[in-house]
Amino acid sequence: MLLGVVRRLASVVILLFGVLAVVFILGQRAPGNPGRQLLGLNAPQDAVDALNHKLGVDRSLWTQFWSYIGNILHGDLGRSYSSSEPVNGLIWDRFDATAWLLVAGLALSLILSITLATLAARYRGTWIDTTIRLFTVTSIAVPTFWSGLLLVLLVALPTGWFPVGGFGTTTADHFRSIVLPAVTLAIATAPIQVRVLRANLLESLGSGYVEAAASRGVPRRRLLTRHALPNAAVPAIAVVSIQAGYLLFGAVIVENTFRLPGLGSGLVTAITQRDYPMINGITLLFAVLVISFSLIGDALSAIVDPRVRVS
Amino acid sequence: MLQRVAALALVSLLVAACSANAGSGTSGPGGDPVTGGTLNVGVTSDISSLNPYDGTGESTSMVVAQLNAGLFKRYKNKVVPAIAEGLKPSADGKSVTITLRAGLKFSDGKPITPNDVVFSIEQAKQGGVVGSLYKGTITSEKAKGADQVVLGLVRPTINLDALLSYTEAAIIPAGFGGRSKDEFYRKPVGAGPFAFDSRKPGTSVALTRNKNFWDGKKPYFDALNFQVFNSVNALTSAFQAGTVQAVPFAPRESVPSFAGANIVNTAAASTEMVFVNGRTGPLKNLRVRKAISAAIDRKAIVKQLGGAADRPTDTYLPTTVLGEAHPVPVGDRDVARVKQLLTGTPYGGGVSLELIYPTGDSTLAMTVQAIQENLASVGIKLKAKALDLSAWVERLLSGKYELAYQSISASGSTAESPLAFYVTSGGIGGGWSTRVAKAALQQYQAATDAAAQAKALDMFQAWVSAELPVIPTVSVSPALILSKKVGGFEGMRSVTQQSLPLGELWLAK
Repeated sequence: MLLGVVRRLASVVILLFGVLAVVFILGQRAPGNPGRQLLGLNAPQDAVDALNHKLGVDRSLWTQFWSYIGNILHGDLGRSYSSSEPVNGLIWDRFDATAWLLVAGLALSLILSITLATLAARYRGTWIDTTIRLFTVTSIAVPTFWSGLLLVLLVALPTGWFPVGGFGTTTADHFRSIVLPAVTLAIATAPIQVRVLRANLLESLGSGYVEAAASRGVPRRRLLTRHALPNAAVPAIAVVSIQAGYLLFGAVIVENTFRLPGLGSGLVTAITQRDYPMINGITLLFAVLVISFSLIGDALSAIVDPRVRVS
Repeated sequence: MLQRVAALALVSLLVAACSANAGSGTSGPGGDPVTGGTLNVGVTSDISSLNPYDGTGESTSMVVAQLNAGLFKRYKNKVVPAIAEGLKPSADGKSVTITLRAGLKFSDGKPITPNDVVFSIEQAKQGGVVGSLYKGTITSEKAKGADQVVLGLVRPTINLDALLSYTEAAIIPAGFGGRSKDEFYRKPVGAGPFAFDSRKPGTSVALTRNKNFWDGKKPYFDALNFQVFNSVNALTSAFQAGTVQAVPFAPRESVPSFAGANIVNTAAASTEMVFVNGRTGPLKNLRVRKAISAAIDRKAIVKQLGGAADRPTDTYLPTTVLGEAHPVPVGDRDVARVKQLLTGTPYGGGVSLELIYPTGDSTLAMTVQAIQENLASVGIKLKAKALDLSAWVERLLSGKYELAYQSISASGSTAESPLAFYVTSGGIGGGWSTRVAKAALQQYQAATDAAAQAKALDMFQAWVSAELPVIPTVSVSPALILSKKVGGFEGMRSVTQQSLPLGELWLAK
């Protein structure tokens, strides 16, 4: 057991190192340089060179990389090229909006997928099942930014119930601001969960223990919610943990569509400004979060299903 | 269901576009200016610095211009005193005495003294292209008494006031007000209409009314809030919802989607042009360069861009420059002439060239596409390649390009910065002589009247038209999108968006 945990943690460290190395080297190998990007076309070359020297980007790639890794081990992600502020602080400032979006998006996505999958399984082969399956197919096909734009055009602008963008300053503002972005994320992620859960539910409903329960006169609704659903949930947990990682990348698009000041919009801004410390910092955090979601998924599966624990 | 929703959305978009076309114009609230309120300004790029002397980028310049004031400013096509009362040249013209207005204060309430002006000019001299202009013009700066500054000059300079009206000539507290330079620019103090309040990098910059501003009741707003949008769609929605009331530097293709807006065309501070590398193959040949110029349909490009104040141009200098060279007549696209020019060269059967241009400017991309089509129709195959700005500049300045497209802008209202840029960039990396540009710059700076300045610029322009080291195409007047509730925009037409005097605007109740 302990060996398994150690092995898993070692693979996490190697994975994180690999992610950092790839992002760092790709950023450095891209044409152009931050000094010119920040000072613009008209700046004299000596000013550009001086800024590049100040930022340390004129050192060799490996010197920069090992220095960066050393700083990370001390908890220092560096300073943003564009604002000169510490990256740790900038990421923390943006974490709030992304956390709200992820939690709300995941919650909505789970509510939507459990409801729709249960309905589809309960009314298998009826128009309800067909409609839900059609919804899942079309939702997968619709790009996230487009569904976000539709919600702005058809809900936010005509009704004024929700802001078209921003995050506000109070908790009440945050609640109002997060509804449409969370719905957008849920629309993007729920369909796959619905399909997986529906298939598992149908399999469970056809299994011997459910038939035995049915023969004892257990009501159909109870059969579905108490017997079939918990068993169908085990494989779905793995899907949801992967989907949680997807939510993070969906957040990049959704945050830009709704102008949420989160990590996703921060990443886009950093990329356009060639702000390598910010790009590396956010990417590292994303990698940590994706791995964490995966570990949490594994742990939940193990709690719910003893077979996973044994394996 | 989804199809209906999509159809509804499409209808909404079309309605928005139609209403934007129908409703846009430049009518606003009449009557006296109203004091109070917050102007929310939507921008598509974050600021890179709050240092007026090295800040670049449209958003940066605009924010810096709200925080700072110079000795002079440009307004309604004239250079007028700002925090200076006026300047008086010495008899030999080798020095000027500048008198400050009485009772001036910075946004933190501390008085503005001649020492602050001296310190600021010293800082300005350390800046980029503009710094070298100051260094090449001002030899010394000394405080005199309680309200005067004496500037020693390299030569008598007729447009010193214009030179001191640049955003880069901002007046800041001497010694950064006792703080370190980095600390100061994190929370700067200036003499502009607004004071710095807070900044969330990549998200927003908040300014408040400078209660100590020297110019009467201005600014009218209590606060200015610059909001950064990574998505034009999000910006358009915010404008339609009323959470943003002003959108400077609006991407050209997005203008129709700002339903019910006032579209104010501001001064064109830049000229789009093709930089030609005269060291490479076919482009060494003047006839090929002339053929490219003759093949470009500038009038059609202007029509396609759709801006009411855009103009076709054959002139290197932007139209906002004082003493602008006499405009060169813009020729029509002439296919017969193109063929005639190419026939006498080894490239009569066609020629392939690469044109690089920087990403991030949709107007540039639209123009490049039009030029590509223009040239393709006369047998000049153009491979257009979009590059990240810094990569584009590296290719340009190292001469590793055939054709490059970009707009050249003037930092202020004199011809010195675009001319100096031509000189310092070594003929913009194309191997061209800078002799004529240097001579024109010297003559322009030494001119004792406007006619002599125009003559210097004409000399440079005549050389450009004859040799075609650059091929100017269009002069683009950027659109400033304003809510119909915003008044006081009349003065915006004659200024560049980088230096928009947002303190002049007001919001109707």
